[in-house]
Amino acid sequence: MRTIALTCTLFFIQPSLAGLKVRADFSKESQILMSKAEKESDKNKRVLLLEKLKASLEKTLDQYEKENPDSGGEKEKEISRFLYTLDPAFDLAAEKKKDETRCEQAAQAVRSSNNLGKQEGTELTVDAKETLRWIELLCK
Amino acid sequence: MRQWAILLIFSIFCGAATAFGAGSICVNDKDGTRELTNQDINRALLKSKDALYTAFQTEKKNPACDPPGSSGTKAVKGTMTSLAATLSNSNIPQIKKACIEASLQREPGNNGYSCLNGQPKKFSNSGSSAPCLNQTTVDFLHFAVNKATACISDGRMPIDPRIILKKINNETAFNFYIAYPGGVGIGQLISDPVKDIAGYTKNGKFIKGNASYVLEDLMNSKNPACAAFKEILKNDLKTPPPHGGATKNYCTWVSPDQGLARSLIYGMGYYVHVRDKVIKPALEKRASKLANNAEVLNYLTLHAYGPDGPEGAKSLVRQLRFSNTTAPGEARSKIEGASAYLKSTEKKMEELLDILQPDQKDKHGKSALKGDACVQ
Repeated sequence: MRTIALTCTLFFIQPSLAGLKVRADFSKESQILMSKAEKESDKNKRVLLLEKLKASLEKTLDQYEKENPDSGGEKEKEISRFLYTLDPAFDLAAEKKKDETRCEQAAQAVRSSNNLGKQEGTELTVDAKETLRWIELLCK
Repeated sequence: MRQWAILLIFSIFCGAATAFGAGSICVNDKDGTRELTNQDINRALLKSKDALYTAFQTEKKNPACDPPGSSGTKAVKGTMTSLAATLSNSNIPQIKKACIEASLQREPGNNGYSCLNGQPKKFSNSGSSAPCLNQTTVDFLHFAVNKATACISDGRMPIDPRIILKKINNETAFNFYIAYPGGVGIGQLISDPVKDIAGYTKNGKFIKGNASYVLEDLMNSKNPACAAFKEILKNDLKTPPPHGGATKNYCTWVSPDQGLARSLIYGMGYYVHVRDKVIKPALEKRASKLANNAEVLNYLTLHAYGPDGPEGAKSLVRQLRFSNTTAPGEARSKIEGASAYLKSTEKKMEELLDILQPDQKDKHGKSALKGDACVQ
């Protein structure tokens, strides 16, 4: 009886949060979009695929915010960290010029940001590695 | 013969006493409990012929007019001109020497390096193995930190010296000679931010850093506070300095002359880059009014230097649901409440204040913890 009551309570408290995407969902989403981008020869279409990921991340974050208007939780934080780690890739995507120097600068922005406040030689986070992969694809 | 020997010993004694100034009081060990004897840092500074140390000696010879709040002494006309020139960006308050001295009483431990002959010589920075910093060295440190703050502030939103004080107090307690894999020098720089300021070579091609404009601005600045730094850094844009990741390069970042000057410029330079080009645009997107509030911006930037990093600081803006209706005061206290790094910084600021104002121990008000008591 107690279990049923608890389940019902949880069901009524956070009905829509249960359906919201988490960081792992975006790893899958990002991988699918990257695979498409790898096969795409048109640079502009690769940009569109990254923008699709951005829109999806933002949409989910907005949903989290709607559910929790006062402050965000850990799941939301993981997604927003991924979104903001991708910033140098988004900036690069928005630029017309994507030469070797600009691509390297975007990659360096990811590394510098990821390592700030950490020890020399610290391994990059999964978010940063995925961002570098996107930059590589944009610059292909 | 015996008289000559006595005279020689006396001369050596007098020479040493003069060289280390006012006997050999170690400012970083005011009560003498640590029994510091290592004079390598003081010796290395005395040997310096760098522009910043020369500028310091010139100002020392012509003592500047009194800082605000002190009792008046006679001001020399030339000195006044020099001071006015130095502080032409004079809306920027200076960090008080007493606060740097209080911070130096803290013991951050770790390893330090002296660069007496340009080579890094390791020492343990704890207990009696730590180096003695005499009054001249500490006066120079105070001079260098305030000069760098005035210089980097030129032409942009000024650096808040309270934040610089809190950040340095947290990271090295002004032990500018600390170096280890966690960072080198006064601001604990690691290779990536250095690459982002100085640029670097990849596959034979020079890549300009995302923050190189900070050094370029400095080189183009007409602010007299930048003059000495220009001399020291003029080659850095052509030939980037070696990164601090390897021990052999430590002196580039920790020697009391060029190393300290370089670390200050790169450290503060990267700070304004993170503040203006990373955090501010993210804040502008959500809460443009808050983006123009220096304190909110500084608190978020300081948070970016903690384990959460810049991405964490940007996430915080969303997590805390900042908008254009959020009052700056509310935003500041929410950031303080959410940031473990800011809390640890504040704890170390409390330690500094306990040393500075022992009668106020554990009773320091909000204003003092913000650093208000440490700027003039």
